[in-house]
Amino acid sequence: MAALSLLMVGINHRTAPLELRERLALNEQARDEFYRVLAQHLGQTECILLSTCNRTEIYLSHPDQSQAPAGTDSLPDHHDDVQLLVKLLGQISNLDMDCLLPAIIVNEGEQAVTHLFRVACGLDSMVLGEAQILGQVKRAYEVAQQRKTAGAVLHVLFQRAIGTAKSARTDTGMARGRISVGSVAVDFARQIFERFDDKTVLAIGAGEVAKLTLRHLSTLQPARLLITNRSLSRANALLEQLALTPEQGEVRSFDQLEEMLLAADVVIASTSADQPLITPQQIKPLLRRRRHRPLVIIDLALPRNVDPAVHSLPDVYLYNLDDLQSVISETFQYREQQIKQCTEILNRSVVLCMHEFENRDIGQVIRALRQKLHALGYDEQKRTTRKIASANPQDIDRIIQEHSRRLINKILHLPLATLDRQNRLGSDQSTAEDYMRTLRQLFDLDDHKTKDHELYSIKRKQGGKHIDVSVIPSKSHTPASSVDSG
Amino acid sequence: MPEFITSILLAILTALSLVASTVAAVRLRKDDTSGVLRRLQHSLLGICVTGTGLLFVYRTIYIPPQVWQPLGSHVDGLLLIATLFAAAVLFVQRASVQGLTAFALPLLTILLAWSICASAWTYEPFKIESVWTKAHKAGVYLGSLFFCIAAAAGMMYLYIQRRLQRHQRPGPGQHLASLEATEQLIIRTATLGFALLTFGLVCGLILVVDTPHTSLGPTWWLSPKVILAALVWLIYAIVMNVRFATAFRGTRAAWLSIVGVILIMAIFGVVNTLSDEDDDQPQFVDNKKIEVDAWRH
Repeated sequence: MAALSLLMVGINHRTAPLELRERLALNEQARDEFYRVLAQHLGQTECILLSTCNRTEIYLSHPDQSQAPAGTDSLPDHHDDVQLLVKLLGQISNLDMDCLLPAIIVNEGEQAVTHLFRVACGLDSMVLGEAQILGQVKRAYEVAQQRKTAGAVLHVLFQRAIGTAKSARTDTGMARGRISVGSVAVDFARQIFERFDDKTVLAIGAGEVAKLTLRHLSTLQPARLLITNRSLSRANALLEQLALTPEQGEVRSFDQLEEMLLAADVVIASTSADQPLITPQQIKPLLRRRRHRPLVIIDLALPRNVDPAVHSLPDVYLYNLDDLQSVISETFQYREQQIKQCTEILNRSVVLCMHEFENRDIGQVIRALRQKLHALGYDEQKRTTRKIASANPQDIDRIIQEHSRRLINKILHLPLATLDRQNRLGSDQSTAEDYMRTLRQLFDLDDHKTKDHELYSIKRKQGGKHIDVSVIPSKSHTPASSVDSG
Repeated sequence: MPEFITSILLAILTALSLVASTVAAVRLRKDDTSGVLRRLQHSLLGICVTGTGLLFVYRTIYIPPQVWQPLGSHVDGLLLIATLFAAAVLFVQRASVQGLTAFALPLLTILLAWSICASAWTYEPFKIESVWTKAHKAGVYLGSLFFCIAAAAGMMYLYIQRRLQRHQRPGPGQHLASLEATEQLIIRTATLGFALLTFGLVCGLILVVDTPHTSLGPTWWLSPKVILAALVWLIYAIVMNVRFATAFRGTRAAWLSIVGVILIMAIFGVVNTLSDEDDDQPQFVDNKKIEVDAWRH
């Protein structure tokens, strides 16, 4: 079996810090430049570049090396390729090799296949099981298709990786669940409200937590966002960061809290106040004035900004950090179970993919064998035709018999000579035995049939290593010398 | 014979609906990651919708035309409600309110089980001779259909609200609509049901006033049927008309929609089980009833 010529070189979030990954996250222009330079150096080599914020990986396959001779189990030597790729990455990102080299990971053959499958399934992601990476893998493959840099090996590899990732996600439901406080808060709000284009979101506090949560909530496109904070300048800064128009967002004084609670449907509390800012006594009189509209309060502060007793009020739904955290933990627990299933699916797919590559090699061998035998047949056919043209009719039978004998001898010459040579060398007894076993299997030469037909005999001399490969004639044939090349 | 076949088919459909209700209840309590229970529940509900629909068509074809009308008897009325209810629930679930079937299936089971009683033991064809009677029946039965949907949505609302208050989240495979969507469904269907019930009751009132000698007698307003109907209508009239004053919102709307359906069922029970005859009709010698009796025997 020929070894698969596949190489993966790159960096990812496990090996490279954020600063390095930022430099190596290639934009469209840098990616085009990379493909152009690589084509200059490697010509017809298949190549796909996968560049995201968490990884930059290059997949290479040499078409010529994929057709390495049978029996070559060692991986093709990719040392030059690795050096070239690292150098290219360094040039494009203006990085010193000293910075880059420690972060570089290299995978070859089956390892590279497994790695890509893991990446596509989200098992190699920073957030385990995330779905975004699958889209990025697809995009990288599409770009390579457009640039015609994906060939027979990488087509199969990426198609199988994408297919496996899709089925693993569908079968295991791995991507289900939320893993950030902001997304869980959005989930809670969505359990209560169907639409948000008529809802008001109130943020009490303008810190980092509020910003992250409001970013998630703004995806729901609420009608209005109110921000209140002790320091109005920070509230204004947050409003600017969220890039909201005056109709969409507004900063209000903390003194107007009651009025804002009356208007709000979702409240995000995240101040550093050490006393509760919202109490049942404050909310209770507002309920009737709110006409029993549901009020979702998400308290992300420690110490808590909202008195827990507020949750007992009708139409008020209070969630604090513990509630959110428990959801996140549940998601991780759930994902751990699914990841086991996903890994099993992935391993099966890697085996199938490798099998496909192997079959591809077998196909190439069969094609080469056919071509060679047809060439032999053609030569003999020409010779026989010439002879028949000038022969007497009574010699025709003899000429045809000779044609068959010569053709068979020519076909058998190389394999039997190799078998004989292996035996004479005597270096590896098992190789000669393997060859004989293979011949028996391929030509269905069990002992019974060999005796019955008496076509060929491969005799092994007792006590010696010499194998006498002779063509034993049938009753009508004359004896022939051993391994007649014709 | 058609009543016997109807009863048998209804018993099968009730059993299927009961199994579907049990599956739905299990789904609400357990994670359904594989989706097997969801598929089973939806398949059973699909069979129930198709089955009730086919039974309705069967009764249309095989029951003599002079007897059967779309609401020719209480069993036909219940069958009509059950078919439309199951189909409407499937439609609403697909459109906006996920998870509604789980709460609608117990109601469907009750409707179908009641249909067996109405078919096997208390079968009595309605004597529909006046346009007011037709309008009365159509209004009341279709109004009841919408109240049934409102009640299913009400049960779902209370369930979701309880889960939210306990900070429980739906597990894998459990998709439930938001509280807001469920509340919207309650309000819309209850409003529609109230309009149809009002129409049906007004027609019934005209019928009684217009016909001097009904079985209800001169003191018709004291009959249990009239009192219960008036009570249901009054409850809905109050809560619907003051809903802008927030009475018919959230938890209250959910509870009222459930209570409303219970009262409507009680009225149907009083009318069709306790009373011997259809009280809407004048007491005259009814040739059609004789024909029906002859056909039935």
